[in-house]
Amino acid sequence: MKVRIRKIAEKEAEQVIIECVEITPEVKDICAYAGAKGKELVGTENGKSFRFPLASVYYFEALDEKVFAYTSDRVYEIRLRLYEAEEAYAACHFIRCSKSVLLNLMQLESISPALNGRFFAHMKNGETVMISRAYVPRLKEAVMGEEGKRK
Amino acid sequence: MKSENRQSAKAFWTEFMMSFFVCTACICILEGVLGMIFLPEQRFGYDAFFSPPLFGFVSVLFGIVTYSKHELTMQEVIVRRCIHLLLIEVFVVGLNYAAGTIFSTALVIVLVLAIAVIFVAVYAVLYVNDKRSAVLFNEELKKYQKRVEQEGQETDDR
Repeated sequence: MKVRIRKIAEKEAEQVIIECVEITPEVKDICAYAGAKGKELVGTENGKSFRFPLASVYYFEALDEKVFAYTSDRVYEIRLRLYEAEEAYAACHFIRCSKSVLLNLMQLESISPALNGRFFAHMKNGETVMISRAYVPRLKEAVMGEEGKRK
Repeated sequence: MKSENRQSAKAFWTEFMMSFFVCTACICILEGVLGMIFLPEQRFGYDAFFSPPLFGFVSVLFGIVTYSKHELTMQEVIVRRCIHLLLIEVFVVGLNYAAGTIFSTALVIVLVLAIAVIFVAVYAVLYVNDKRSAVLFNEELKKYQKRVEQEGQETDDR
């Protein structure tokens, strides 16, 4: 696929145009990646609105019908459902690790086993998040490929 | 959601089978050692070969008490494991009693302790297996993150 970049003057007018014969899964991936790259989110903390980069989010957590974004030192409430965030940011390495948590693989330091077939996810900011047994194969597949599911 | 339930059930059955084989192997050793010490004069037919897998299967089957559709807290997990162990102890001692095994106090104590040791050993094997897969995952995670960062840098350079 040819890639052409044209410089423009206004930041607001930046856009990615994809010209293709048909919309294949690869095109969809590029779309999702381009849509989320350099993306900023708007969240509220103590009633005030803040903008913060998506890449700075360690994980999203759904609590009492609300969804929170956890950065290194702040917690913002965002106006998205967890499944919406999962769909929108899958291309930015966010993956579901339990019914209520969507974690950023790029901010994951390591995992370690817990009891009952579950794992702990140790984030780069020192926080620990639980990985449910049901989501372990999917997480392994995302990082290790198809073979990861069997290991 | 169905996919998650399927994967959860698959993980559960994998753990079930692994527990069964480890448990059966440990029971074989335990029956041999305890038999030689406490009942050296006892002789068995071929049917005795079915005893370890039977005990193994029922013991692991009792593990159903640790299964839950919702996420259990660590405290709930520990309580359910204790119930699991208790069920196995009652089953093994009860079945031996019903089969007419003559119990000395020493045999009962050793049997109860040995069952607890096997119980811990099974979970230790499962834990070691999880640990091994966590180490593999962590190695691949580092490569994955490096790869993504390099791809991002190449895109930025263009």
